[in-house]
Amino acid sequence: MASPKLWVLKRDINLWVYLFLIVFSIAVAKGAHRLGLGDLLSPGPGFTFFWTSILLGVLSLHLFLKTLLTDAKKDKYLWKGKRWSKVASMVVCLIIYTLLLDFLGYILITFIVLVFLFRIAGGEKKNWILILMAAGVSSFVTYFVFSRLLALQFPKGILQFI
Amino acid sequence: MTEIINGLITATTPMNMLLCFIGTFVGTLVGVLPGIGPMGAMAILIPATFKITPVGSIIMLAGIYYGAQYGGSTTSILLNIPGEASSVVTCLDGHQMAVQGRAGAALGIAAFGSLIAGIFATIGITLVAKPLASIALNFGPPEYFGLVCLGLTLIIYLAQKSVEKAVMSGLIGLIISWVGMDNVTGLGRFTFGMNELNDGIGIIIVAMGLFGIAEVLINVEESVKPEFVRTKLKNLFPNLQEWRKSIGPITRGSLLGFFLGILPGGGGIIASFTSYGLEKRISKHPERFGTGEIAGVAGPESANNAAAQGGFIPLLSLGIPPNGPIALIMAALIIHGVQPGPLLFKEHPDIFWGVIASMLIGNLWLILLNLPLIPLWVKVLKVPSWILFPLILIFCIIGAYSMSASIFELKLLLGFGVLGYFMRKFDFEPAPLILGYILGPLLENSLQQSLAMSQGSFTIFVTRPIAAACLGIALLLYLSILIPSVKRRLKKFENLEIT
Repeated sequence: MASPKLWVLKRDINLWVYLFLIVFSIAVAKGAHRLGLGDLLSPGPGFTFFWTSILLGVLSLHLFLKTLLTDAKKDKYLWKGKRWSKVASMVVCLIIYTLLLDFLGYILITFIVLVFLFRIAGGEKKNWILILMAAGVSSFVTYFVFSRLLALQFPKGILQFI
Repeated sequence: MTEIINGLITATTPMNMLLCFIGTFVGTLVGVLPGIGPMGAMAILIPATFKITPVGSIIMLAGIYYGAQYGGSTTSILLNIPGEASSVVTCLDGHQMAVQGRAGAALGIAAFGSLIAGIFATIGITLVAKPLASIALNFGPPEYFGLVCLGLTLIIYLAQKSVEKAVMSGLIGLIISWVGMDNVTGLGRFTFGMNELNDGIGIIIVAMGLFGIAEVLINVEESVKPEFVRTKLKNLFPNLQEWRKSIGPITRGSLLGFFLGILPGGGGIIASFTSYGLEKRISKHPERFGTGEIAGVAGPESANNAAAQGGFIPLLSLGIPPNGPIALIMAALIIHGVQPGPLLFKEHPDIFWGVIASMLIGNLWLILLNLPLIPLWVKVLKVPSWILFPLILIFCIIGAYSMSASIFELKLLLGFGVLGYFMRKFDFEPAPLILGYILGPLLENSLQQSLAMSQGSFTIFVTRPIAAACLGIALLLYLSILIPSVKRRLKKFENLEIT
């Protein structure tokens, strides 16, 4: 039979967060040590990193132990009743945006991504024509306002001939 | 007196009046719209300020900050959803007033209370900021180290949920602030060989990610549809009886908010909650709070606006931002090549006095925006979220790209957006991270300089009175949180033993 403490680890997602932060703190402390801690007269480039990460690690350990030693809470699924798939889809859209911005250019990639974002965001059903129009107007208006009026340089991408 | 007049002249140029209007308009808009706060709006608009003067930029950004305090009450009253965190308490009585057909009175007293508090705070800043800056001219690295430690300690009072998590957020902010090339040795610190990180991670990227993108992601995840109170908005000017009930709370809220706003870690949220608690405690009928008591709207709304403006004192006089939005304004000043601090009123009196004077004008704009234009804001609230949220994301991307036309910065932006989302899911508040990020460089520099001055001895922080006082207060604050917590644990342990 699995140890009750291991069972708790599976149940409380916060424990994993604290564990991650402990590992993060150790990694930063090691990196800071490699940079050099110097001495009190002349602190090295890693001095403040080191002590801050130690403090972060101690707090993370404190919370980890505090959570582990208290009664296991009922499973609190943080995404219960939430539209997490919409969040994930939006993040993927934005990743694609960053990867294709230079290649496709601002207007085209903004139009494409906005079509998807308008479709994903909000709960109500939307008309495709309305979405396409909204995406088109938004990408052109923002391009005009920011590049012409505020003189920001946007990549033109494959529409360079325009 | 001459300086104040010069400040008024600076603030009343057509361009600065327009920028003040734009700032207060955008502030009211983000205040009205749940889902994006003043920090997100300020972060998005900072790149747009590169084309304008530093004083104009700060006037606009300041307008967004205190404008959002006004706007937040509209959704609290009409929708029972706080537009801003500092308007949470306004939901308790303001919405009840709206349900009872008194939405106009609630909106009116919120706006007028905020105006009075704003004027009071502006006068307060005028009287306090310069003398404080003159005192701060004598501050050296040890004093700044003490002040920054005190500021970082007061992060625990920013915590709305877990104190430990708020402190951890602040520590992560410190770590992020130090990424980049070390000033002394030229070594890259946690740059992982990437040249793009040699100059560190930009505040705009961090702020837009944590407050722009993350807030949109959190809001998209929710499936709650706000319910409008269907009531006619009439009688926006409070009657005599409403004024009589409100003048006390407005006065107390203004004073309380102003002083709480000055404290590092203070701001509209703490001020509004404290004001509500105070009004309820001293009221002859505390049982009426939560059922549509006008004092429950007048006090907190005055307090949050007074706090928003009072928060400018430590920034303008000491160069220490007391909270997240002011930290962004500080970042904007630095981007424009202006170092906030005690020398600001000598080296840039136009900025110092111009910003203060603009708050008077900004508060007047806000009355115009918040009362006659209420029907406009009601229409804005009806803009579907499926249009609004994607546009906010695009504005964040434009803002980040405009900084350096770098795809790397966009990736960082997205990374911070995802980080901000998960921080909120796991109850790690992002505001302490921003505060830690802003104060990190000052903390490190003042520590290094202090240790160099003292030949490596920490006693310098004890022998310098102001540094010692700040560190002593910081220690007391930690103990004030730690001791009750330890006592609670011991009591729990004793109870367990008994059973």
